[in-house]
Amino acid sequence: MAFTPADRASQLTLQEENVQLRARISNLEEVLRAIHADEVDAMVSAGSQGGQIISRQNTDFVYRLLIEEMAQGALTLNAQGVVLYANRGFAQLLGRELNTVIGQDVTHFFAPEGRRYVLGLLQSDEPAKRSIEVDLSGFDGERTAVMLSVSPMTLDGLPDAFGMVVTDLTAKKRTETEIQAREVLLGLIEGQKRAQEDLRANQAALLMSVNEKEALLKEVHHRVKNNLQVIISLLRLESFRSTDAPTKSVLQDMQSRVRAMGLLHETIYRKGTFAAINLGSYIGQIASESLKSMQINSGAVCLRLDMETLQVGLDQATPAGMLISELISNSLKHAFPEGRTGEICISLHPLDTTGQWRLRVSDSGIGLPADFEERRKTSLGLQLAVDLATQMGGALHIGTGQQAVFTLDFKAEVLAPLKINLDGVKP
Amino acid sequence: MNTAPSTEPNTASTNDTQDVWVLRLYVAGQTPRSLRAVANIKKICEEKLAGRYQLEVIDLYQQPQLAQGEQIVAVPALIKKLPEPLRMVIGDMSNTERVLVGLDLLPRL
Repeated sequence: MAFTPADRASQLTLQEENVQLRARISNLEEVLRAIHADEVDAMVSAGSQGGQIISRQNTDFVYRLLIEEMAQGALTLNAQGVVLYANRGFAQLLGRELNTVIGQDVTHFFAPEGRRYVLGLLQSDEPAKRSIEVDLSGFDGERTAVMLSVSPMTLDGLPDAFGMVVTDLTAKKRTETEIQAREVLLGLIEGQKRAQEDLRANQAALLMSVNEKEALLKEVHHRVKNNLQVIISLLRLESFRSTDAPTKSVLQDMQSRVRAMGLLHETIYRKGTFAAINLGSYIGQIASESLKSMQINSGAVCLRLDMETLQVGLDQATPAGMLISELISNSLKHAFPEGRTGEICISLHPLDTTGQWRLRVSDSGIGLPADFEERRKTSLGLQLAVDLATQMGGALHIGTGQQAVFTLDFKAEVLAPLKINLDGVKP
Repeated sequence: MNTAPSTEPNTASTNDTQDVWVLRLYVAGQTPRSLRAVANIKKICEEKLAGRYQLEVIDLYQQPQLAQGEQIVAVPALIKKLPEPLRMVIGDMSNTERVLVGLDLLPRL
């Protein structure tokens, strides 16, 4: 087959065009390869108003990143409520994949009772209604309390679009609950504090009242003792005035007895313990007082005391004191005639651990006379001693022998500890 | 893939076919074309394919990994995966006629 020169020229042209086209295709393939291989930073589109550079990291990049990365949900909606754009934050609030969110009706993502409020929000013209609290309904039906804020936007080709920001209120609500709980707790603590303060004030008032009563009680004992002192003085005056020896003796005995009672009241108001009294030291005091007031020759008869500590109530202390007074008076009158000397021993000891005690009074005098039993019936002092022993809950044994020994076994009254009941106390 | 209630396949369709259109739209964040593309394709689907389509919108900015396996070189890009054959439409989907041709809802001229 023969070619004309014209054919040859045409063939050459076609071959050239072929080469050029192959090159262009190769270039295009290279561009495509580079785009796919992530080797391109920007693309140029030839628009009607000149070229436009589309870059991956253009000036909007920071704004884009802000929306994409924010913790709140960010959405763009059209007028019908279709989600045109949603960020990952919104998908996470729903527990859904992002590609199942864009393109959907936004109301589907809210709990049924809240849907009309969401639509109302999109249709509202009042700025105050641009924000509501509502529950999101997640993929698994779990509800999340959120705050919706809506602002209208006009976009190119989308005149009635909206921007919506969705804020998770879970943490806020939890904080509110915690704050409420804390306030309740603080209220309780405050109440407790006030109650404690009230209690402290009550206790202070009570203590003051107790102190007042104590002072009054001391005052009463003081006055009783003073009155008894007056009686003793009167008896002393009468005994000085009297010339009759038996009368004088009776008046002196009376003085001793009243002194024993007065001493008890004095001990009480000096010690300040009203319920109990140390019997040993009280008896010792009475003994030495009696000895002092009745002894004619000072020092002729001395006193020996051997006392253990025993706390008793007034019911036992009063007769015990008078009993000692009688017995010492008896000893001094009869055991040491004509200036004899000697001693009077008084001892107080427990007999066992059950509260049985022994009070013992003895003297080193001439001993009891043979007609003691006869005299006993007529002696007021000895009859009194027996009665007083009975009052103490014991019996008086009189030892007849070389020495006069008087023994009293009695049961010590157990004293109940003093209890103050605060229950009924009002401030 | 999860589907929202509005895109559940509806068997009580008025169309003569029981096919379900499985569509995937690739967009790039909030660019105007992307936003318009979502709004337009949603409107077209609701009007022409109500109850018979599944639409999945993928933001390549936020989920770039989902572009793998598809030959996406320009966005917005709509891909019709079903019914066969696979077709692609590029742009903001404002040309309804072109979109309907791409979805095989109008015959090609």
